[in-house]
This record gives sequence, C-alpha cells and structure tokens, in this order.
Amino acid sequence: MLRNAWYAYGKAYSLENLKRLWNFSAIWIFFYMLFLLPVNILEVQDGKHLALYYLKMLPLMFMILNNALVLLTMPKRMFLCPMNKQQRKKYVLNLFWIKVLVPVLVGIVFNLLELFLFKTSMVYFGSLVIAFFVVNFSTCLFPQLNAREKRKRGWENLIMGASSVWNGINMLLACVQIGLIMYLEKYEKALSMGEGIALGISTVIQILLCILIWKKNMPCIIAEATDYEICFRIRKNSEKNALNRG
Amino acid sequence: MFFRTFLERDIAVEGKAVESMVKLETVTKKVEGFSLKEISMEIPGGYICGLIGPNGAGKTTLLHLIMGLLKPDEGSVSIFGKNFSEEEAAIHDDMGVVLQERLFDSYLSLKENGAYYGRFYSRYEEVYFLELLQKYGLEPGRKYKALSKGEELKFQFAFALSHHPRLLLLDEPTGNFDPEFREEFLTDLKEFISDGERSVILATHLTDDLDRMADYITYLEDGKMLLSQNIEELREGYRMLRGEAYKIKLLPQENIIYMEQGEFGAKALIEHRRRFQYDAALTVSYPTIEELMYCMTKRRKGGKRC
Repeated sequence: MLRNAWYAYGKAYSLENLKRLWNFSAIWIFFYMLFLLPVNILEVQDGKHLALYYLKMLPLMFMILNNALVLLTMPKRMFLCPMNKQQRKKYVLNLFWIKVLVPVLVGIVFNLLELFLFKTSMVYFGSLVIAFFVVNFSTCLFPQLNAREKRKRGWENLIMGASSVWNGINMLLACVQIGLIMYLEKYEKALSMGEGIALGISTVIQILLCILIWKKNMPCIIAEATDYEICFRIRKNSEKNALNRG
Repeated sequence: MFFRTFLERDIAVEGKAVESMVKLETVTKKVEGFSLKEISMEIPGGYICGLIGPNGAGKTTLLHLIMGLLKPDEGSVSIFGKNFSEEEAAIHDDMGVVLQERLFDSYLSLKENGAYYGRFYSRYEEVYFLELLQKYGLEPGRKYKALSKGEELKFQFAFALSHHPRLLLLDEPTGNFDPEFREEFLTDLKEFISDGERSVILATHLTDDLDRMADYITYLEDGKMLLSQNIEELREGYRMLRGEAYKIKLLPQENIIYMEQGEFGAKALIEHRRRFQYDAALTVSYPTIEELMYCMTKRRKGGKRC
C-alpha cells in the first residue's frame, strides 16, 4: 500500500516524493507553530482552557477539508494521460492514501510528541485521535454527496452529510465523547471504571462506523473522482461557493 | 450549397488512402447553458484543421469531446478508429494537447513535470523534450508556476511534441505567442504533419495563421457547425467584392451571403459561380478566413443580404 502511495506521486522513492512529503509535513509544522504551540504554552502557564480544545481542532479541520477537496481536483492533465478507467481509479486511490492517511499519521506523531513534551492528559490525546477518525472519514463523504446531489450546492451538502444516518450517529458519538472529556477536565475528575468502559465502547463503535462508511462510499468516491465531468463540476461549484463566500 | 461538410470524403495523400484521425457522427452535447448540436466531421491524417468561430461558439467543448474529457449525449466520437469507452489509454497515448488552462503541476520544475507526466506515454523521449525546451528558450529547472502565459503554452507544446503524438489538439495558442516564436511554432506544426500520418486541430478566433497553413476549416457558431470544408474549395467557392453597391446587387440575390455598405462603397461576400461575370469596376478577391467568418456571423445574426 505504501509503495502504491509513493507511486501516486511519481517515480518511487525519488527526491520529488520526499519533497512532496516535506510539503505535507511543512503545512503541519506551520499550523502547529501557528496554533498548537501558543495554545500549549498558554495551557502550561495558565491552567485549563477548555475553549482552546476547539482551537486545536482548527488546523486539523483545514487540513482534512483541504485533502478531501484535493482528492477531487486532481490535475486535468491526468485525465489526458494514457490511462484507462481502472488505472485512473488506482491513481485516485493512491492519492487518497497519501492525502488522507499521511496527514493522520503525521498528526498522530505530533500529538504523541505533544503528549510527552507538554505532558498533556491522555484523555485529551484520546479525544484528538477520535477526532482524527471522525473528521477524516466524514469529510470524505461531502464531495461525494456534492457529486450525487447535483441540485444542491455548498453548505447544503454539509447538512446533508450530517443528516445521513451513519454519519449522524458518528457525529453524535463524537459530540458525546468530547462532552464527556470536557466534563472530566472541568471538574478535574479521573475516569471511573464505568466511564472508561463507555468511552472505550463508543470509540470502538465509532471506528467501526467509520470503516463501514468508508467501505460503503469509497467505491463511489473513486468512481466519481475519476469522471472528468463530475470532478470539474464539483471544482466549478466549489469555486463559485468560494466566490460567494468571499 | 452554402453549408457543406466533408463527411464520407474519400481522401488520399500521394495515392494512399489515409485513415480518419477524428470522426464525429451527429454528436450532441449539452453543457451548462450551452449545447453542441449534431456535429459531424471527419479529419484525415496529414492535415491541419482550423476550428474557428466567435467566442462561446463551442470550440473548446468540441475539443473536449475529441479529447474524451466529455462524453457525447448523442452520436459517436471515434479517434484513430477507436472509441474512448474501449481504448481510452491507447487514444490518449497518441494525442498531444495544448490548452489555455494550466495543465501541469505548479510546484514542480519543467523537467520534473516532463518526467512525471512523460512516464505515462509509451513514446515519450526526455532528451527530445529537453532539446525542445532549449529551442524554445525555457529553462528546465524553472518552476512551472513561474512561467508566463506564453511560456506556459510553449512548455505545453514542447511536452506535446515530445511524446510523438499522431494527433495534436491546440486550443487558441497563438494569441499568447511573441511574433518570433509564432513563426517557429508554425514551422514546427508544418514539420509535424509533413509525414502525412499526423494531424493537427487548431481552435482559434485569430484567423491569420489559418490563412497560411490550414487545410480544412470547421466553422462553429452557437453550438452548430455551419461549415467544414477544404480550404481550397472554400476559397474557390466564395468571392469578396468591393465597389458600388448597385453593381453587386446585379448578381443573383441568393448568392449574396452578406453585404455591407459604407461611406465609400460596399463590400460583399458572395457564393461564386463560374458563370458569373463581375463588373470590371468591382474589385474581386478570394476571401480571407476572417472575412468569411465575419460575413457568415453577420448573416446568421440577421444581417441583410443587400
């Protein structure tokens, strides 16, 4: 799989690939320096800041939304390269691995570092890992819904994404978990056995749901991402939405 | 006949039957707020076909259909006798493109872009690609994003030639070229088709270059193909008259395609017939493509014949 991921970015194990990976990591480092580091310093100096947890989510959200968008905006030149549908699907799938999984892995490494360097709580670390799963796999659905629901535009799709049953349950679980973590942090409570089991079970359910959603939707995402007309309609719509928002 | 096509034409170069490079049969395609209607055309090997028409006529949509980026709603598109649904990779392997958009990876250098996209093509030659870059004055180590519009089109053209395609599709490239490169570009295009087995489709609304080198002209307007004809036949079939309006009006009305009266006389595009005897006071010339395009567009928009 990793070899395929490398392949998606050109000649295997070449300097260009390393440069690309560096670009990904550089974005992470940039966001880390911009948001996470000041937040951590503040936290260490000034005790607990629950609102800062949300702030910590921002770079993650940017990163993942960007990845989901990039997945569906592969260069037009690729549609003109001599590849058949199958080869193009493989290319997009490889792109998916490197665009979604690499940031997740890099993010986890950063959070592990954070855990050891800044001694943040294990609970907080757990919440970030959960958020990684939820945000990653959920946002993957939005472009696909964009493509399927041609009449709907922009933020309507986000609502649609959240309203699809599995995704809704998933989001709800994430909210409960984050709420529980915030409650524990606020009252400086340790996890009781029951709470720990509840958190553990909900996390397992959540991960299973993510896999289910991913398995169910990934073939559609790939099929739609490899269709020029759909791909570029989405790009056009997202450009229009960006203009409207701007 | 005013609108003629060269569909089903039996074409031969040096006595050898030439395979159709591009064949469109009654192709209809609806895109957002616009539709191409029943386009039929056939382009043989060894020719340069000019795709002309005003802005928004459907030139780029037609090129996208030929490139396989869009699928026709009705009708069929076959390239080198193959269909996109069955042999997409083989078709693209033989097709070079130069489009108005930025096609390559902005963060890679020209050399890296060539190497990255070139590996998909069976006949890509890196040495030739680098030679072309040098010839066109492009530094291989420069980042793609740093190129100006004209340089970017030069780069696309160099890449397109470097994988030795049989069909070259160009979407309005010449407008961004400096005069010196424009000459070089036209020479390279002629050299490209010189073996009689390769073709070029050049979409443009700048018709000067087509006057000099196109073999066929396809004229589009509002999504309809009004004309698709050999340029020699086209020139032979029409005349541009300049002089007194009443002298032009003496010709049969149905042969006057468009006439415009100015302060110092009139000019008219007419459908030429061998039997016509033009008044000696009239200036008679072969129409340029620009004049043909102008008069036909005016007529379609309700311009008066006389």
